[in-house]
Amino acid sequence: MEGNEQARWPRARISSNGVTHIRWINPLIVAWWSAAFPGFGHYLLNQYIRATLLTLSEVVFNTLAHINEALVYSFSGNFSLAVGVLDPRWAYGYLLVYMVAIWDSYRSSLQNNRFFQLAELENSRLKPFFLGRMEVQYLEKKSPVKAALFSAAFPGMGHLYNHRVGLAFYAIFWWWFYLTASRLHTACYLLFYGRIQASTQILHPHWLLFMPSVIGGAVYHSFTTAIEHNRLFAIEQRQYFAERYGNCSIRIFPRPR
Amino acid sequence: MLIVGTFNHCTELELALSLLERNGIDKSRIMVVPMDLNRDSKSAYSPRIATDAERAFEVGMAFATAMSVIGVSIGFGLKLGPLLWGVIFAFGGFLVSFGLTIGIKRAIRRKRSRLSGKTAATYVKKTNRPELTVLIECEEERAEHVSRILWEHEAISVGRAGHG
Repeated sequence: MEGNEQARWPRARISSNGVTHIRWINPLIVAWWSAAFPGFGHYLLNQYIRATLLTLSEVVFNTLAHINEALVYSFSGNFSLAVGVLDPRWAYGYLLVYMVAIWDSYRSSLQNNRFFQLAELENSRLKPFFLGRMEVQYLEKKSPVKAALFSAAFPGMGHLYNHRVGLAFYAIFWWWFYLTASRLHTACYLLFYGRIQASTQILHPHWLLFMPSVIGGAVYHSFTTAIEHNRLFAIEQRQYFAERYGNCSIRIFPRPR
Repeated sequence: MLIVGTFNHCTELELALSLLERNGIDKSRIMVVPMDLNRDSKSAYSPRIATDAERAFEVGMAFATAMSVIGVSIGFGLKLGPLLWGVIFAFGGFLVSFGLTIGIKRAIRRKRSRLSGKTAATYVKKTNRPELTVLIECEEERAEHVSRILWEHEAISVGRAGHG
């Protein structure tokens, strides 16, 4: 990346794991996705390592504290059952990590947006192609709708479409886990045959309740990442055309004498 | 002879220009004009000017997720069960918030444009507007060949102006 090494605020960097970029994003949207699933806000800011660790911590401590079961009871009005199922040994700590993750992603996105403005003003040269020993990665025109649909079909597939290799397989692994642990597909099968009660009974509420956030977050992340990739692709191509065809000698009208 | 083509950003366009250069058109006889798609923006790719649909999708997904968590939870105690209620709440939440966001965005824009006396159509839609215009100067006998290459590489439209 010759261009980017001199840049103080580079826009993007391509590696074997995909395109990592600085982007402008509404801080409230980031805070919301952190609330939906701790770590998802950080994913939107391309802070992949801390985001992944936060999602792991969410699954482990939510499970230990029985947060999802308490949510099911609270939303259906059984408040005493909700209090009973929560494990105070883990619940307070869970709450603290949850709140701080939201705050941290919100704060990061404010700073991130300033860096984004600096990067836009600096307008450093993007490099469109990466050829590594194990991977090929490049900027290309993407369809945000396709990315969203792939993620809706199976979270992770939209990230694969966006060439975000690590996150794609991390999401695919977890979706398989949630599918089997919640018995979602078996319950769907029973539902198709009209056995609603049997379908409800076979579901595992704890694991099922992770799934709406995961699929919603995956759809939104891959949709918005595809839009950003298109933006970077267009910027890079404009930079290239300006360099290569900037000294054009075409005169449409003859020089006035 | 001047060949004019309009394009969107795509890898095919770069391929077309490379082919033309390989076929003897000097790069000084190729001009690429990046087009602004919004009257009000300094850069055509400013991310703050997302289309209304993109913004509404953002809000829609946030609400769909929140509502389906609530729908699944309530559904455990209801007749139709958590799966159907989760899906109903997700779609309901999405449609209501998507529609509301689009409606509010349009209302704000209409009000603003009435105040400033401009038309309301700015940056509603970016699709189908060419992002680039390409001009190529070549000899008359090559014009056919050049336009064919442009057509074969995702040109939106191609035109010719003959002089000299």
